[in-house]
Amino acid sequence: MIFDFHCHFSPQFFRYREHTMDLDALVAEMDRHGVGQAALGPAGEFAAYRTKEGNAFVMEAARRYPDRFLPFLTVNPWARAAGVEALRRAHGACGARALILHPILQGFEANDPLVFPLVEAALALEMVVYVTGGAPYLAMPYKIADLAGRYPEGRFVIGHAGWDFHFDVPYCLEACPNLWAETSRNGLANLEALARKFGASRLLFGSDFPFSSYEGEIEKLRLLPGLDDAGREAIFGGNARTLLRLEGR
Amino acid sequence: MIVDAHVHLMTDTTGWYAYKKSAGGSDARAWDAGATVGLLDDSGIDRCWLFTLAGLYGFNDCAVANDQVIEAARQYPDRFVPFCTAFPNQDAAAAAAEIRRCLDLGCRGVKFHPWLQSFPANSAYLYPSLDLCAERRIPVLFHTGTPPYSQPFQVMEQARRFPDVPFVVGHFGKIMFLDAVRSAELCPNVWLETSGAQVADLQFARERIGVDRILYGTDLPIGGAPSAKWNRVKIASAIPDLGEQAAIFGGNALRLIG
Repeated sequence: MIFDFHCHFSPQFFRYREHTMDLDALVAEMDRHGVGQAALGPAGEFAAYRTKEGNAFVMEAARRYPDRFLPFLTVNPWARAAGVEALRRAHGACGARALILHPILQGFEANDPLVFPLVEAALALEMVVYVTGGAPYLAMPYKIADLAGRYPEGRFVIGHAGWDFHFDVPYCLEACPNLWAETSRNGLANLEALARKFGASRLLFGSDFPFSSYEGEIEKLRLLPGLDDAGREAIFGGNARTLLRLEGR
Repeated sequence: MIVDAHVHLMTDTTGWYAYKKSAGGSDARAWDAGATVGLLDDSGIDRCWLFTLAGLYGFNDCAVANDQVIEAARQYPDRFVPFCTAFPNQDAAAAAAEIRRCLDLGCRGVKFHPWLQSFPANSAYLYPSLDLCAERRIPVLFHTGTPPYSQPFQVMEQARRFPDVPFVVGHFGKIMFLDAVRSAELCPNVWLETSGAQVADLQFARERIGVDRILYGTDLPIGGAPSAKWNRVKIASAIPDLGEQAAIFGGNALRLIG
C-alpha cells in the first residue's frame, strides 16, 4: 500500500486560484491509485496564516478516516510563543507525527532563529519536521540542512527533494543523516541521482495533491531507474512508516 | 504527431552530467544523433527541436557544437528540427554572425541558456541576434527558472522589444511559473514549454491563456524515456481534453515551425 507523505486538504482555499476539495473524493482518488494512507497538511491561506483552522480541517479528516489519513500540523513561526503553544495544543488533540513548515507561504528563512523554538517544541513532541523546499533563498536545501544540522536528534524532510536546487541536495543528505527527501514535483533525473547515491532509504513518496496528480507522481516513481522492487516499495511507503514510527499500524 | 520542443544533442559528458557524476549520482553517457533517434523512438516522440548541450558551456566551441546539430538534422531530417546557439556576452555582433551562419545552413530556431552562458536574459547583448531573428521570423527558446539570470520576466522584456520574434519560455519558468504564465498573458509572442511544469501550473496556464501556446517539452536525454513518458502523463492528467492535448503534444509546435 502506498503511503503519501505530502498531500493537502482544506475544503476551500486560494493558491494562485480558488480551489475546493472534497474529502470523500480524495479518498476515492486514493483508492483509484492504490494509495492506502496520506499525510494531510493544510493548503493556501490555511497553511500561510489561518493555521488553527487549517489544522482543525486535517484533524477532522483523520477522525473521519482514521485508517486513511494522518494529520500533519503547521504553525506560522511568526506567531512565536503563541505558535509553540498552538502546536502543543493541537498535538495534544491529535498526536500528529509531523510539523510542516512552509517558508514561502509563511514568510521566513528556513534557518532563521525565529523558527528554532517551534522546531524544538516539535522535536520534544517527537514530531518529524517537513520543510517545503526549493524556493530561491527562503527554502533552499542548504538552509534546510543547516536547520537539520542544528538538531541531529531530530528527523527532517526536504519537501519536493529541493525542487530546482537539486545540485545541492546530494551534499545536504550526505552531511545530514537525519534528513530525507520527498519526491513530488521533482524530475526523474534528479531523483535517480539521489537513488543511485543513497539507495532508496532517503526518499519518501509524496503526491503534492491537488497541485500534482497521483497518476503522474506514482508513474514517475514506477519509471525511476536503478531501483529493485524492495527499494521502490520502501520509497512508496516503507520509509515513511519507519520514519513516522508507524510500524504495526 | 508528437513533437518535443526541448531536446539536447548530448555529444559529450562534460557539464551537467559530469557534475551529477561528481556528486555521485549519475552514470554519465553520451548520446550521438543515432542514439538520440533511438531515444525518441523509445519515448514515442516523432520529431524534436534539437539543440546542443555541450555547446552551452563556455569551455566548448559553440560553432563546432552547432555544426553537430546541423549534421544530425541532415542525417535525420524528419526527426530533428535544428536549433543553434551563440555566446552574446563575448561579442554581440559575432554572436549574431554565428546565428546567421547556422540559419543559412538550415537551423530553424535559436536556443539561449542564460544561466550556463552567463548573461541575464534581458541583456542588450542579445539585440543584434534578436534583430536577425525578427527579420527571419525565427523562434528563440530560453532556459528559464534559474534566478537571477533566467527569469520569465526577463524573457518578456525581450518579447516586448521584439514583437515579431516568437519567444519560448523553456521549462515553464519552473518555480517561477506564475511569471511565465503572466508573460504569455501579456505578450502574444510568448510561448510556454512544459518540462518543469506541474499539473496545477498547467491547469492555471490553460485557464489564463488557453493551450494554443503551450508546447510539450522533455529536456531529453536528461531523464531518458521514463522522463518523457512521465511528462506526458503529467500533461494528460492536467488537461484531459484530447483535442487540447493534441495541440500541446505537437500541433502547436508544427504551427510555430512547420
